[in-house]
Amino acid sequence: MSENVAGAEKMTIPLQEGLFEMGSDGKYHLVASRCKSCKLTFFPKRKYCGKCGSADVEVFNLSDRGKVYTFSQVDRKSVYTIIEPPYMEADVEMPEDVHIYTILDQCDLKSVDFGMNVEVYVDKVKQDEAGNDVIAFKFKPAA
Amino acid sequence: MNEVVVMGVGTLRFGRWPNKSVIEMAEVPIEIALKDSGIPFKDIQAAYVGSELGHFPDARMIVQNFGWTGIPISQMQQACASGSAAFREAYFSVASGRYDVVLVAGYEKMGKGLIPGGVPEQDKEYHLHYMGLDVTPARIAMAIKRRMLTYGDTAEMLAAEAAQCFEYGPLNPYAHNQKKYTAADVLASPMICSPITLLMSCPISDGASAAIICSRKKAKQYGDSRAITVAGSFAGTPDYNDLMGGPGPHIGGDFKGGKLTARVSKEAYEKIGIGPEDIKIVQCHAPFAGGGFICIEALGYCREGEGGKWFLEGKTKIDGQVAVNTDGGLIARGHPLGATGVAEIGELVRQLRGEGGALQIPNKPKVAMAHNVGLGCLNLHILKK
Repeated sequence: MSENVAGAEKMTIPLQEGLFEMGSDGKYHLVASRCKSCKLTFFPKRKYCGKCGSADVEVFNLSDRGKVYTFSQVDRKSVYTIIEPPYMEADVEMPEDVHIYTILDQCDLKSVDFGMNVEVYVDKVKQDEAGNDVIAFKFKPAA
Repeated sequence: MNEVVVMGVGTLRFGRWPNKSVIEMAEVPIEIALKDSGIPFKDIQAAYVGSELGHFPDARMIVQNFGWTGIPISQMQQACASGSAAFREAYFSVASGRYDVVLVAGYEKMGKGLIPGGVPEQDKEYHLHYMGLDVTPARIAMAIKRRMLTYGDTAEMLAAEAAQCFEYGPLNPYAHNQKKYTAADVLASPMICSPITLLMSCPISDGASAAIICSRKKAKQYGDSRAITVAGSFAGTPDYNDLMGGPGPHIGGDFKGGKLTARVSKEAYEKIGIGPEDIKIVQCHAPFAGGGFICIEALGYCREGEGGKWFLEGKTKIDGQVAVNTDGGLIARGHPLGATGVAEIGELVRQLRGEGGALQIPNKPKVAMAHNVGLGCLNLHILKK
């Protein structure tokens, strides 16, 4: 999943393949899988259902909005991270009955609360050595 | 299945050992355990060594330091539960009749800072690692935060659990942290991942521990008056009910609600025919404050949501309803990953023998539990006098 940026040879490259995709509406959406037999949903998408092991799963786009189930302000930096603390990590409950761990950005850290409406968005998180924009998903307070 | 007993235990004080090799570190507890057991190294028929961060020749070198006797030596890697995984496999090797006398060891030389729980170039979980989502304390912090909403857990309850660890650490000669901190000290220490502070977190410790186990029949030849029976070994990994959110391999710790602990302990209780009311002492895996709440609830000591209150009210102290982490636990004793599970066994063996020193629980405990969780796995052992 990469696309040409108009007027330049630079590309936008996802930090990790398979977590989100560009929909026909021109927006990025998270990609999950749902087992056709036991109906359990997983994010990220799985080849085999995490409950029954069936390979008969359908891949679909999750809703763009969810609610903060729980959260923690992280004040320490782990080894590989490119995110500078302090930042807010949140567990977002999606309408499709699946939870997503994410950075909660564009918010006042003190204002985050349980049940807060949040929406997914895709943001440039770094530039790689070739000068390409590397993008990843985050959540932010819903407009 | 043959009856299996623990004949000897040993621990190298947890702390920082920059000048010792892992072989030198492990030598200390193995020597102590051999002496404690009265069994010479030449009688050891197999060895199981637990370590998460160790390198490929370590286990053999650690054991062969005592002699090239040609025995099979296995290394178990199961994150924070590597030591109990070694104990588990050693137990089954004796219970099944394959061996009579087996050495178990656990060791770890830790690096600095937070443990990332994976390497991006190997697991390809770039989002997890680069986006700052591989911070282990944040996972339990989020679970505790949710408990605050659901059950009314408070920062004071978290501080009570940590302060209990710091009350016992200075009384345990093997503990990393020998300083007594109060609940106020714990609350005043820097925030790591809200609501978890620095003193609510296990320190970064090197360490090693060992045990010698034996069939009861063989133990009689050496003299088994101090032998402690391993009543059962139980293990599991999360099922889909236990999963947390994605992305990343962190889904399936036991931080969410202790469902894995509840499931494995239920199996243990049913198979052995005991219940939590019979077990007055538990070494439980709580690397961060709040871990103990989830654990005593999942083990059936109290109802869901009451764990924090139990710590606050001192029901988990040495003279409480169930003595939890009498050696200072992971928070004060320290948590050198592979060494932790075997050190838990060591503390419980001393307690059941009545050799617990200043930390001895009253009324001569007869049954004890060692609970050791790794990233996505659990080992649980029941010991009996």
